[in-house]
Order: sequence, then C-alpha cells, then structure tokens
Amino acid sequence: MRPRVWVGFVKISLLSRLAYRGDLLLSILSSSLFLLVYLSIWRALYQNPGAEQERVPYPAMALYVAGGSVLRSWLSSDPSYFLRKIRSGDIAGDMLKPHSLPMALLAQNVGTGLWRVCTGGLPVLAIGVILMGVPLPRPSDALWFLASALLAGALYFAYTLIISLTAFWTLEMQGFHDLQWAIMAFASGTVVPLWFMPEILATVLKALPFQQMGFVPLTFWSGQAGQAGPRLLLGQFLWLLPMAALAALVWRAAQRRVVIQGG
Amino acid sequence: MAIIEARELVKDFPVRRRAPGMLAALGSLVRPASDWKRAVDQVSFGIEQGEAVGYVGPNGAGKSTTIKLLTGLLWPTSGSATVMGLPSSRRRTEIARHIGVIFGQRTQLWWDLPVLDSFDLLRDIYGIPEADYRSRRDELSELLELQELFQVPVRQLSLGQRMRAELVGALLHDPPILYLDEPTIGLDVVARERMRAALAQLNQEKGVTILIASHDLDDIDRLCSRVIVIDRGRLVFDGSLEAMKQAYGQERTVIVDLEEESGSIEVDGASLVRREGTRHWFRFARGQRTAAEVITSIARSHRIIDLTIEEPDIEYVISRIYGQSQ
Repeated sequence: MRPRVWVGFVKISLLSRLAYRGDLLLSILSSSLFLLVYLSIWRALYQNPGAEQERVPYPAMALYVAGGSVLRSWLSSDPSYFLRKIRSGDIAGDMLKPHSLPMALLAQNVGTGLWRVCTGGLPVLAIGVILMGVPLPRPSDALWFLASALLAGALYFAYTLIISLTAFWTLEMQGFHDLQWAIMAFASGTVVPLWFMPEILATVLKALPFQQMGFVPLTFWSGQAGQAGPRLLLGQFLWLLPMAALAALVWRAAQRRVVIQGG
Repeated sequence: MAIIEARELVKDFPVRRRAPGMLAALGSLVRPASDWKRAVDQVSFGIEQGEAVGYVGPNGAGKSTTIKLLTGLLWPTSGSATVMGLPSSRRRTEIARHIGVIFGQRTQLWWDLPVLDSFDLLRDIYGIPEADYRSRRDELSELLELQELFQVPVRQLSLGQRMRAELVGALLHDPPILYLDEPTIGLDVVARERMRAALAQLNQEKGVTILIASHDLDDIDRLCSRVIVIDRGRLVFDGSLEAMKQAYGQERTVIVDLEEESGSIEVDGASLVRREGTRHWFRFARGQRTAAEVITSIARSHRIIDLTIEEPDIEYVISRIYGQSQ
C-alpha cells in the first residue's frame, strides 16, 4: 500500500472520530473515574506490607496503573470488525478497493489509536498526575515504552485480526468475541500485573502472547525493566512474526469463505 | 475479446438446516447440518466493451451472486469469471482499479464524513492525480447535480442523494466497467429518472460498459440494448431486447371503448381477456392476425369510440420466459 493511501486512511479515521466529539468529555470523565477506583484499590492493598510490595514499591504500581490507561487507549483495534461488517454486508465495499483490506484496517487503527491517546489517554494521565498524585515515568522509560507500545499495537492488531476473521466461519458466535475481552484483560496483565500472580500462573502467562500487549510495555513505563529492556523488546518482536504470518494465512483463507448477507 | 466473461460459472452456498423444536436446536449446536444450495448454475456469457446489458431475474434467481462473482468478491465453486482477461477473485484488488460497483442498499462512502471527504479518500486510494480528480469530480457532480451536497455528512443524505453520491464515488477512478446491483431500488420517480439519464449518458458518451441487475424493468428498457435473463441460477435468455420481444412478446392487445355495453363479442383469431364496462381488451398473436383485421371484425357489430393497441411490455415478456423455464 502506498504512503498516500496510508495517510488517507489515518486521516479519515481521525475525521470520523471528530464527527462524534460530543461524547469526548464523558469518556474522559469515565476513564478518570476508572483510574481513581483502580488506584484506590491498589493503595488499600499496599496497606498490608508483604514481600511482593517490597519488590515493586507503590509509586511504581501507581505508574503501572496510569500507564495502563494510556496503553488501553492506544490498543484500539476492534475484534468484532468483520462480524459487524459481514452482518451489515458492508464488507463488500471494503473488499472492492484496490489495496489489501488488512493494511487499510491497520492504517485506520493507527488513526483511531492516535486520536484516542490524544483525546483520552493523555488527558486522563494529566488528570491523574494533577489530581491523584500519579507520578510520571522517567524520560528514558517513556522512550522504551514508546517502542514497546508500538510493537504491542502491531501484535494486538494481528491478534484481533485473527479473532475478528473467525467471523467468516462462525457468524453467530458473538459470545466468543466477548470471551476474548475477558481473556485479554486477565492474561495481558493490565488488571493485575504478572508480578502478583501465583508463580505457576505467571509462568503459564509468560509463555503466552497476551502479556506482550500489556505487561511488557507497562514494565517499561513503571521503570521495572532494568537490564532486561532489549530482551523484552526482542521477545515482543519474536511473537509478532508468527502472529502476523498467521493473520495473513487466515485472511487468505477467509477471502474464499466470503458470504455476503442479504441478496 | 469480451471485457467481461463468465464461463460455466457455478456457485454453491451452504444453507444451515435445522429441524424445528428445542431438541433439534440443541442437536444442531453439537453438529450443525448444512445443505448446499446452487445459486448460480453453469452460467456463461460475454460482454463486449461499451455494451449496456440488463441482468434480469426474480428474487433469489442469482443476479447479485453473479455480480459478486464477476467483481471477485465471491470465489466460484467451479467455472470462471474474468474481467479484462483477469480471473476476478484471484486478482480482486487489481481488478478493483478497472471497475466501479454500486450496490443499491449499501454505502461505499464513509458514513460519518461529508461527501467531499469521502471523495478525497477515494482519490488517495486509487491514486488519482489531483487535476484529473478535480475535473472528473466536478464533471460527474454536475451531471448528477451533487455540488450543493459536498459538505453534507453521508448519513444525512436522502436515499436519492446518497445514490447520486455513490455513483460519483464509483466513477472517480474512471473505470471502463460499471456494475450496478439494483441501483434504483427505493428511489422515487424523479431520483430514478435522474439516475437513468446519467447512466445512459455515461454509456453512450463515455463508452462505459454497464452491467445492471435490476428488478425495475424500466431501468433495463431505458438503458440496455441487451438482456440476460436468469431464473433459479440458470441462464434462460441472452439476446437483444428486440429479439426477446420478438421471441416471447408475440401477443398484442387491442383495447377498444364501445358506445354501449354489450353481451358477448366473438372476434375471429383474438380472445377477450378483460372487460370493464364498455372497455374491452382483445389479445391476438402477431403474425396470425393484424390489428386492422381485429378492429374491423369488432366494428362490424359494434360502434367503436376509441381504441389503443398495446405492444407487449418487457415485464410481460419476462414473465413469459419465467413461465416457460418452469
């Protein structure tokens, strides 16, 4: 796909968001409230000191929680995209364009993600810093986070694309898509960091790709990566390759399965 | 060489089968059963550059499926569909540059954005040079009287306005081929007429090859010199509109208003098919009787005040083709 098409799609998704700027304040408010509740829970938990808390002090945990809300706003791809498009029949228009549909989706997700970071993630972070005493990451950690969040975004896109494409086979399975939200929230470590999970569970989750889209970037943000930085980024990259290849394979197969609803 | 070609095209769809009732519903969760339904059955035709072809058939005949096979959206079960010599499903994204597609009830514009933003994105998607883009956009918008709607978000357009915008959008990249699937469905008379006029002009002046699937036989009558009729997936007629009327439309009707109501009227070689007060409809076969003979025969016993001769309309002709294919 040529750069001009890329820019076009990024722009169009930004403009589409702009059409609904009315609910912007409301969503900032609800995300800030969510951050407040989340911080309060962790503060309460830290009242009872234990071995884990000594390894990860409270300020790092506060960073982790606030970073999580920025990261969530960035990971914007929609796992039920194809389900909606197939149900409405709009998939036809998408597929009749002279470029690869997944690439166009990726570009639109970049646009949506940027919009959500600027109008949601960062304002909420500012509110957290000003009103709730959330610390800011060290500049070097923020840079590591940036690189890691980009990889996490690509990985999350490939993952949601695979999930989303299953709609070509299982048109009725809305429940499956709901389930994946729960899996993602739990296994990525955005709700509870892997540090605090039982060892066996943490070992299992570390072997899965989900933590690469949550726990790993947030480890950078909260300044806990230490010397492991390059190794963590490499780990994300090594997961990205097979995920992207699998997504491409599933897309190839899905195109042969197109059924357009209605007529 | 034909610019669009279907060769022994076949498309089967799985259809979920489920017996009614709770138990059967549970059973189908475990092991869903499906049947195969043949939507398009051994369809072959070729369309030359510059032709305007009507694709006609009752609901569920396979019209839309054929168009989707030709655009490359669907993969054929067997047979082949080619556009400009390229196999359509295998080379879909490449073919997309050469075709414009309108699906009557669906939008290919961006719902939340003003019309002009959608057009701008299409310019980027198809890589249209700015100068070409502007002149084409303005020319098409003038043809379809769209300019005053440029700033309106697509979701706020009426159906008629939206279809005009869709048509401009589908033609911005100057495709030599235009597929239309029920383009006038749901439009009012004025919007329909405007759409037809624009399509006729595109075909005649710009030489755009048009394949139009429609329920509305007036669309076909107005635009197309050739018709392909399909019924239950099978091609039942392919030829000129004139040839179709000749072959299937042999019956003409004379409608006469008589001075006074009458009992039975016997006319040799024509049959009374309808009567309303003093108005009578006589149907006769072209070739066996001339209209003059029928009228003279009526006039012998009755005073005729007024009369019209009705040629078979395309709707009637096609209903006869369907009747024979059953």
